[in-house]
Amino acid sequence: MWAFLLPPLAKKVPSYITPNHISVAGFIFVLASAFFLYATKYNYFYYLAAALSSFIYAMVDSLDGTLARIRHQISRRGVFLDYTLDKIAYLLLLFAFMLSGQVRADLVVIVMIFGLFYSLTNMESQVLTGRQFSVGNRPQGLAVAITLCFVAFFLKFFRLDLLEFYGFKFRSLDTVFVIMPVFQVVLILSGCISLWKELKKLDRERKK
Amino acid sequence: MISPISIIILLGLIIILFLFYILAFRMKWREIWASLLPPLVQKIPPYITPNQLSITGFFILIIAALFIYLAKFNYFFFLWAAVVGWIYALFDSLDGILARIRNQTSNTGIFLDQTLGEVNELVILFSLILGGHIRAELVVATMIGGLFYSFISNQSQALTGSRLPESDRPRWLMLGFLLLLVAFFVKFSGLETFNISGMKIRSLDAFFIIVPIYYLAITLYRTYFLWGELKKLDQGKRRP
Repeated sequence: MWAFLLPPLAKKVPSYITPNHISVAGFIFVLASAFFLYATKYNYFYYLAAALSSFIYAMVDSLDGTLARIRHQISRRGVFLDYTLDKIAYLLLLFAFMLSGQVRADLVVIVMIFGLFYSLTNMESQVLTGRQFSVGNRPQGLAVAITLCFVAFFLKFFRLDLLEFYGFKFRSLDTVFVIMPVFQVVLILSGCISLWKELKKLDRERKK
Repeated sequence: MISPISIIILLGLIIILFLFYILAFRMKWREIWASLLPPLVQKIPPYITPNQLSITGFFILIIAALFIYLAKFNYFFFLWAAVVGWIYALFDSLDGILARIRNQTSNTGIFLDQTLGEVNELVILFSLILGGHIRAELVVATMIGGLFYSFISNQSQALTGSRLPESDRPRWLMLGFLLLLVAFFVKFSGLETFNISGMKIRSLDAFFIIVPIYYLAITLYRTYFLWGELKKLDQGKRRP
């Protein structure tokens, strides 16, 4: 879907704007959505604003890559900036969400650590085999974040944020954040196993 | 109130800090290990592979983590944890040297070594949280800072072909080892908390706060240099 939408847009970008400018400008939207996520502490309608600015960030984030490919300006600096800013954005959004107090802090920290570990093994895969084992691409990850904003909004809207189960009270967003690390662990393990098999194959070829 | 005991304790702390400085920043651990280990490596029977050593090291580290947790109940476990951590450091360096001597360096070995290294760091820090020795926020900041630093280091390897210089493990192991000794000393001398104008501060927290700050500083510094190097590479030829 992005592939159809972006190239016409990328052609309209004036020539004095480089892809790296766009990456850095996209970070402003990350800051905005982090602020909105924090502000959900006071009014849950800010979830919608956070979803909107995350959507714009997703668009801008894909735009820089497309622009670099169209203009044949792919550079090492661009790749580095893209990956690093993306990770900082990931940490910042989760941190803002943690500060807002909507979810248990320890669950958010676990999601942060597993997410970083996942991208770390991904990078190792890139170093050793030359490609990443990444299951989902970045727009998909952002789509998950936007969906999560909407889910949180509707849970608040329909007063479903506090559930009671046999006298045991818990927040429904916490359950979402319990499922996420489990999902991440499955991703990490499956990625590591496939990478291990590939590395074994590489080693065998090298011996021959 | 100044008593002779407090002066002795202060002197002890100063000596430990001095040792810390020498061990962490002045000694070349990689060279020392490299001269110490090869005779030991030749005594390893041939049916033991380097990967097996890495995995054994992981289990030894779990024992060290257990000891750090148990130090919650008896602070002498800090000393045991330091001893076991030392054995782990030996195993950790041994597998790489064994692989190099036997010409058995493999991609799987590199992957196992690096991944287990990260997991080990997380396990040890997690045991510090469980034991309640240090504020959880500080430890979590260290975890995230460490992972982020390794992320940048891996990117550096993918883009320029060399890792960042601070990635050598022995130095970090020495720091951990010293932290355990300081923790033991602090508990032993009863200097666990001190007051600064009515604010209670645990001395281990005050000591440990150096680590996340160091990670932050070193990440920023290295990113700056990496950026310059990437710029040079980009100007050389426009190719990903």
